[in-house]
Amino acid sequence: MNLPLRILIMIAFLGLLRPSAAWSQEATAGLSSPAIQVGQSAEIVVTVRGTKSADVPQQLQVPGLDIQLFGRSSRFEMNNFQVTSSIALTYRVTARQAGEFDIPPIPVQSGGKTISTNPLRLQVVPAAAPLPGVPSASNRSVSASTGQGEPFFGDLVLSKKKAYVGEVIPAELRYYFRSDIGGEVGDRPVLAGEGFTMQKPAQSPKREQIVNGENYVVFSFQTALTAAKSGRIEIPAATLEARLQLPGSVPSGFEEMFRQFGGMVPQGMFTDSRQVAIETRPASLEILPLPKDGRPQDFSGAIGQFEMEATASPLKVAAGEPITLRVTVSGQGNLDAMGAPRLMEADGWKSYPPGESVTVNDAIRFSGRKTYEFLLVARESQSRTPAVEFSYFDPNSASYRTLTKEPIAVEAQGGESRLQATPGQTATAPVPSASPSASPANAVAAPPAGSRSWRPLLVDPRFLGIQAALGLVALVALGLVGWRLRSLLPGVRRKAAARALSRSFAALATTSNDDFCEAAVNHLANTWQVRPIDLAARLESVPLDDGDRLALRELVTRAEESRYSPRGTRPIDQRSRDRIQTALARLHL
Amino acid sequence: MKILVYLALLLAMALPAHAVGESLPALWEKATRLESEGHAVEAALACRRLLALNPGYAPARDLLAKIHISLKLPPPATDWRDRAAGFFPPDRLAIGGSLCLWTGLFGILATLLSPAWGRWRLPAFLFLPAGLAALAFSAAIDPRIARSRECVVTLPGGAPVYPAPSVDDSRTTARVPDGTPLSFRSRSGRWTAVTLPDGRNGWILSEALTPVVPAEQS
Repeated sequence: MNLPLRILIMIAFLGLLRPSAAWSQEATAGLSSPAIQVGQSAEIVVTVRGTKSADVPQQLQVPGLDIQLFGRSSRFEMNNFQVTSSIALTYRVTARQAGEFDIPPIPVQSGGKTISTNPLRLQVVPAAAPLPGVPSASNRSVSASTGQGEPFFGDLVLSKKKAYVGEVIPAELRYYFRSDIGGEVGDRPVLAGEGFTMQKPAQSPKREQIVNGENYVVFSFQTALTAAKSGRIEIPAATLEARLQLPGSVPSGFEEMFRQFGGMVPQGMFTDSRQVAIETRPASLEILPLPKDGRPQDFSGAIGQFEMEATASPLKVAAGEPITLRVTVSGQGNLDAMGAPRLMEADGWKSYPPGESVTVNDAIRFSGRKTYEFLLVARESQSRTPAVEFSYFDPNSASYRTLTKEPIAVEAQGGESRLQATPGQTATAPVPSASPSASPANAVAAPPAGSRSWRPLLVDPRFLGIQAALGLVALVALGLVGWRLRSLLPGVRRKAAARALSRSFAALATTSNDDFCEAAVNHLANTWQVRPIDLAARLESVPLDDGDRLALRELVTRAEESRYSPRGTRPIDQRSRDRIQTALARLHL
Repeated sequence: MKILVYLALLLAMALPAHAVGESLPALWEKATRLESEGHAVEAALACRRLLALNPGYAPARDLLAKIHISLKLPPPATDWRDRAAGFFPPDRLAIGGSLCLWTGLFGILATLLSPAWGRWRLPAFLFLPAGLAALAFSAAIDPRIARSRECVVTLPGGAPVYPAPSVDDSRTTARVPDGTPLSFRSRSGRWTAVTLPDGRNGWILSEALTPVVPAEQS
């Protein structure tokens, strides 16, 4: 291949490249580790996409942290001939004291605009303390288990490896994608296994993380597992579907062509679109049965850490009126599955199964509060509500605990005369006495009357059939009325008159000479919608051809003769008849 | 007038095509007997069925309230439809509404056909909407329609309510005691989706439920 041809091919090839201007600018920030010890360092990587230059502050002011900019790199990426450029700016974060630190959004100056990154949170623990379980453990496992530069991989992070039957175990499904990979990710991962249930995964905001020196975009999903049986439970891989643009092979000849120009094929110029299923690593959980020793008789089934509050309202009620005792159990645990607290020494009260409502603080229903509303009606006068007791199992201490709330002072009159329905229900008739003598069975002698069928009359086929028959009769009657009424319509009347004129004109051709004049005069009178006696006057006022006027005048004269002359009508000759017919034909047209 | 008489005769022929398996006196006898024998849940179901057929029968309502107390359930709920159906028997209201509707419609047609009937035009125009309103009201208050989605937990000891139609999900939304009236939503295999009295939704095994209006006859 000669040189000019090669240059032309290269120019045409470069012409295919789309500049990065079409990309909107975006800045994201990621921490290399969400938790560090005092004195240790982590990295913040700020990635600015869609630009070739960006300025950030040299240092960030966060009390307790020392944050200095120490690195900058540019990256030129090409995906299916679409060119993007990005800049990575690296800060080193050194912790001076323990605590939780919020790193505010970092302002980035680029192309005359200021854009901000997402905020970050860094947890710093004392130098001697171990790093918090979930995230840091996961980072170590990620680093150890993944190969250098792997384009994508998944990870399951469990908050604990040992738990009890029924305990809620928060977990996170993480899917890492190297930052130079584009594509679309499925809605949520799929995890199916035996012996446990899983909360519907809730997606957390996308973030960036450095793993083995590579920058990854992390899609994470919060969920919670609950074991249904004791023993070792295997958690299979959770699969997330994705369609990715992965680096593809360079077509033969291109590499040689670029080498001849002294360069190499840009990374990312050729990509393959692939449907992939990314799996997390399988894991296992050791599940223990709830201990029988020390289990309270009224154990509610709650497992976790809880607190309890109780309020009553109203504090003063008349006989038969209910008091609502509202008990709120808050904390972390199996909020959905736990049972209600128990009322203590409630003999003097009539109570109903409590209403329940759950308010959660997170997407996995692990943290929140559950409110129970007991409806209490005093059987006899009461000065305080029953005490409330709630038992739960604390997995941290592996022991049962019982929370107790003392009675609340109230004034409730005894009796049932005005028992009301529960909130949300309509009040009913007074409740009958429970004494046998007042039993409705004894009180009522007459058998009840009422409907004799379970099928409502409105949907009974016979009833509907009769309605349909009557509807049919009504339709026929409606048609009849319509037929009667249509002759009154002006349009219909005009059309009928036009049809009558056409018929009478056609009949003239076959009328004998003796009757012709009378038929022709009637036709003319109908055409002009005047009486035959008024035809002479009308004839003079209507604009007509002279020949036609003469012919029609002869017709009118003949008609008057036949009407008034005792001799009757003169016989009409064929020529006059033709003239009159011609004139009438012109009028008819 | 003759037309109206014929119409009334025709509509009367449309009455009970499907008679109840048990007569109302038999249902009442059953309810009282079960209640005295201590079968409170079954007695409550019989009372509910009786009230679906005759919402105005106060003794059945009183007996149901008494059973609810013995079962430690909230008092049975009644609404305006029950009270209205007690005053206006729905079937009779439907017949009256149908008569009004057709009288009005044929009256209007007659006034259009013959000027001699012109003075009946206004009454005829009033009968038509009155008939339609009576039919709609009958459909709205008929307990056999309004309570057609009501079912009762008849499993001794009550039934657990699950958030999904599967026992694999160990979480339960609640546990409803037997005798509790629930609102039917849908069915999936052995499972029935219900709405609890407090408004929450959940799934219960269908074997634990009995519909108030018998399904095969409704």
